[in-house]
Amino acid sequence: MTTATNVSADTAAVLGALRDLATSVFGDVDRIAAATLEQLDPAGRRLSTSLRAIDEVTTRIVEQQGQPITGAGFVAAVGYLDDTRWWLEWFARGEGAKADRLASETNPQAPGFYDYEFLPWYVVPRDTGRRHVTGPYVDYLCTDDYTLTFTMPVVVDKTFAGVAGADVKVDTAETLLMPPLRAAGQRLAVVNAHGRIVASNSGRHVCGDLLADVDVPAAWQHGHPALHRLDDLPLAVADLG
Amino acid sequence: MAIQFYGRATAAVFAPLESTSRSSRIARRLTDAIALGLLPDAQQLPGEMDLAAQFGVSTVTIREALSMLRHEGLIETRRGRGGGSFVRVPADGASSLARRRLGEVSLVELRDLGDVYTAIAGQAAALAARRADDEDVAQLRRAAAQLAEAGEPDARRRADAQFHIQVTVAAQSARLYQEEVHLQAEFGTLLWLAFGDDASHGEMVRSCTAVVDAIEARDAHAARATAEQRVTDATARLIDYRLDQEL
Repeated sequence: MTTATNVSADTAAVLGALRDLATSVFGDVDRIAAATLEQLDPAGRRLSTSLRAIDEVTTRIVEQQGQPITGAGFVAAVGYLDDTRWWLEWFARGEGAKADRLASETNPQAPGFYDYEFLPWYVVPRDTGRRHVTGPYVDYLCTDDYTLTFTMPVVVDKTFAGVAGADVKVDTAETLLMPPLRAAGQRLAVVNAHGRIVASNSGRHVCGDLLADVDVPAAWQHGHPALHRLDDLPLAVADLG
Repeated sequence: MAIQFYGRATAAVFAPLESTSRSSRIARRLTDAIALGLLPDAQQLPGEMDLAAQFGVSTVTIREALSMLRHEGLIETRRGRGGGSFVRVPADGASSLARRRLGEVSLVELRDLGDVYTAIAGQAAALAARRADDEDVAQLRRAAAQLAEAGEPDARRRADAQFHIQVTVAAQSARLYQEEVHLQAEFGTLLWLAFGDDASHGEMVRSCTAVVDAIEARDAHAARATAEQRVTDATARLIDYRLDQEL
């Protein structure tokens, strides 16, 4: 892992904006996770209906003015609840910034069924026990937007109970990252651990492309002087030279 | 407002929307959703006020659209407590809806839909070859395997739709994804009249596997060519099917 040696002021400013975004979003995700934990009594029955108790905190987060989140909630581990195999207690910002509940389709044969068992925002926190940022990706199961999803595992008595999470549109992340990117005197790109570009200050490095200049997955493992990682998250600032 | 040079497409965009054309377009959208299986039998539609808000039209327009669907026997409206409008899929399944629609579409319109779908499918595959990461490729392989395993025509149709949606997702484009979904509703339902048998299913699985191979190899040219060929072949097959129906 590269450490903070030789980080230019420009790179540090972009990393700072990225950290501010992650801190703000994970702060809200943490509140949803805490509210969820209160409802999941390890001794009692595990019911999807008891998750209604997190609706107030979640809708308040989604409806709050001036924050970057467009959707948030809790997604139960497959098979964790007693009354349904799959469950999403999830709200998305709709008309007039009001939080709309996502209808959970729990019948796998139905057209609106939401199979999340193989999706990275669920799989990575389950398998690593750590928080994760998925994307940029086209969230075709929920909002149809180009999205970043911030998730953290919710664990009850050493059992994985699901993930708490929040969605941020890539547009919004771009708005927050552009001021330091524009101010930079060098070519920089914010990338994920696959090398997918979130935002950059170069027309040759557009959002969604995989960075060709640096082999990011390899650099992630072994470190690279041009790659500056953000703490434990799968996000980094790449120096394009 | 003067509209010059840009031809009829632009003029059509700015043309005033008559309430009848709006209501018939909403009826067409809901019919497509029923034909695609997105609105299953007995599903309750949202209330008139909610539908009006969702489509951005007046409740009068919604009432007209619902009346058309009722006339076609595609919804049933019950009054009173627990009442509302409920979907009624025709007894011979959604394919009879598609067959009815195919009869109304000219061959030149089919060709044109095929042209647009070729552009969308080809570009999505080419961009996916450039942008897909390992996870995207794994999702595509899973979707292709599900298509290969699907036995019933309906399961095959759903798996095929899912595969092509995954290609636009791997392309990282929300717009291409939306175009794919619209084309599946408008054109995919028709294409499926001519597909679903074992021979065409085998071809489809081979074509999808070839697209994933090209995407994994980062070969944008091969990905584009294979995806375009699939739509070109499918369109030709549908036009032949339509011609046979007229005999």
